[in-house]
Amino acid sequence: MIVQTFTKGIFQRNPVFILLLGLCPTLAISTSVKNAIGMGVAATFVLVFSNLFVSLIKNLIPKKIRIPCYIVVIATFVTLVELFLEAYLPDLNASLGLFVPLIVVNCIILGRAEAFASRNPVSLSMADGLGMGVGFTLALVLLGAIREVLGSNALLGYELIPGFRPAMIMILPPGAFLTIGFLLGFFALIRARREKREREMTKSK
Amino acid sequence: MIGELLIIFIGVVLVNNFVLVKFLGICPYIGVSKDLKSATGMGVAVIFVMTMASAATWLIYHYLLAPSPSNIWFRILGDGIDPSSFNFAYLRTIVFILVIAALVQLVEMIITKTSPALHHALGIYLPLITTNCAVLGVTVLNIDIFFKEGQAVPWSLLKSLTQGFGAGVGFTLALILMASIRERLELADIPPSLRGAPIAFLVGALMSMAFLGFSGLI
Amino acid sequence: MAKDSIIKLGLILMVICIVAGVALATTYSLTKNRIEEQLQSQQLDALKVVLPRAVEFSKCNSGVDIDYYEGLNDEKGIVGYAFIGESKGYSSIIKVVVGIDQEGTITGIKITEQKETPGLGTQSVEVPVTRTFWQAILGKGESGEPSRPWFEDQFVGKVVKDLRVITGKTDTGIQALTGATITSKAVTKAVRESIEKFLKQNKLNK
Repeated sequence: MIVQTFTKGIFQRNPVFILLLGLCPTLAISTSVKNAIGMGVAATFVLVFSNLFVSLIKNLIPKKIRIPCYIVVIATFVTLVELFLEAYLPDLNASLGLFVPLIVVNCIILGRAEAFASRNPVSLSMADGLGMGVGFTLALVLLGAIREVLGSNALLGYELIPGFRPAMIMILPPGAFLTIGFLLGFFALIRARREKREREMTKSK
Repeated sequence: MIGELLIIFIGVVLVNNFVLVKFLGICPYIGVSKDLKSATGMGVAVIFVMTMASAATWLIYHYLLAPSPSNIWFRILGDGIDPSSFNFAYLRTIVFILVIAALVQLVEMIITKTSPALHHALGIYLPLITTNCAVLGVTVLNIDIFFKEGQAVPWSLLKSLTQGFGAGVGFTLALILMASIRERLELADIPPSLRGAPIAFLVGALMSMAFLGFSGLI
Repeated sequence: MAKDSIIKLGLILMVICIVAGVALATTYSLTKNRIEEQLQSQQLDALKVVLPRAVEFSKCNSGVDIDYYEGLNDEKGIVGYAFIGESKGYSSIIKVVVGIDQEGTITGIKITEQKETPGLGTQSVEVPVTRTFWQAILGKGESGEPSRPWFEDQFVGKVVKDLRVITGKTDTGIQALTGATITSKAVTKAVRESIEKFLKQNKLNK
């Protein structure tokens, strides 16, 4: 059950591509793979621990004030991440910039606290948090890789194909919209084809 | 003075549009822009919340949290104590988001009493303004400049208010443009896998490209 | 007392906030020194780059127009001065740390803050990478000392009157970045104006 919950967050209910949550940091941070991994790990940390704590105190929180309570828990972990980055990884902190404190309003985290962690035991909540976090990170890395390769002819900071002039628009804002638009369309196409095949298989049975 | 404020306003509405350049407020941009009326309603609510939030958070940061001589703790307990030992700046995230959540509750109560029709139209999108990255984003941007400059003159309340209001206007502009286009898109012939979110993002890409043209404006 | 009374709700929220506050305050006091160190070392790194011959730096706040650092050598003699210049770039304020020697010749600059267009204006701080991705994953190619951005490097050895932006290769002026003339002009302006301010304030005759 735990493993199932974990993998659901990566594929069937990928927060970015299927649930369409957490789009702001996805578009903004995906200019390079390094930034993508940094943001993904930070958000996963917050997600796992906030799910853990919300699940722990779920019976103590009155229904009426549950949203502010979740917000306080999430904001606490986000501030912990902020302080950690400022102290030990200042370069990453500068690259992620405004989006570190914005992890607090990342719809994924509040969404999972409300929809899952408040109704499920601790172990499942942590698995869900981890799964969603990994799914989020993978989505970020995919976008980041595409934009970095096409937009700056590099991967992880190293040049890829010498002499190739990259399409700079990919690392500018329109590039983010383009990439995610086409990726979503691509996944929708795959889903449609798979459903068509399944329908034909059940028809022929 | 007016010139500076005008530059900040135009900067944040066109050059650094919150949605199309800074990627703040994407969720409602894709989610609420299906028809013009709800887009406009959402936009106006956001302008209101952003402006009030800018004012409230600026005051709280400047007088309660930041390590500066005007900090209230310093003034009360001050005299001989180093102002930097009252540095509560790290609490800004938690304090700001709670202030915004409270403000949104307030706006919701006001709208329910004064215009139930508008409340019905906005539906669940109103409480969602709390998680709108653009609102928290603009409040953090307002005080970030103060913090970085250190010795230099911090952004005044007036500049923060202008930026907050302008950010809301820019957000509403992007939302209205997107909603108008999407209403027409309903009648267009779009490949099935691109319908819905994908084509909205591609339209966003084109709009973002157009707004790139404002880059060197100020 | 009703189960959901305002007081009870408020108390619970307050308890959660207090717990959060304590956790944050503890973390803050644990990381505070480290964060301060980071800021200092960034400042120090910039100073070391722009005043390569100095081993020690002392801050002089008495500047009327512009604060500056004195670079000192082993015998506490002054080898140069460093200060910060600012000007408006294409899409952001550009901050530059400038180092000059006793005669007013530039010993180095370092751009510390900028948010220019990625790929165009940001070339001003880009360091040429010495090996490709493929070499990196195979472990080949030299890594060695991180080199300096060529745009900043070309300021070394120049004086105020050389600080004009010229498109195309030049030895006597400042070569502009391809596709980023405004950024190039802004950096040059920041450097030139800060030097002029400093020289006027300290009445150093070149």
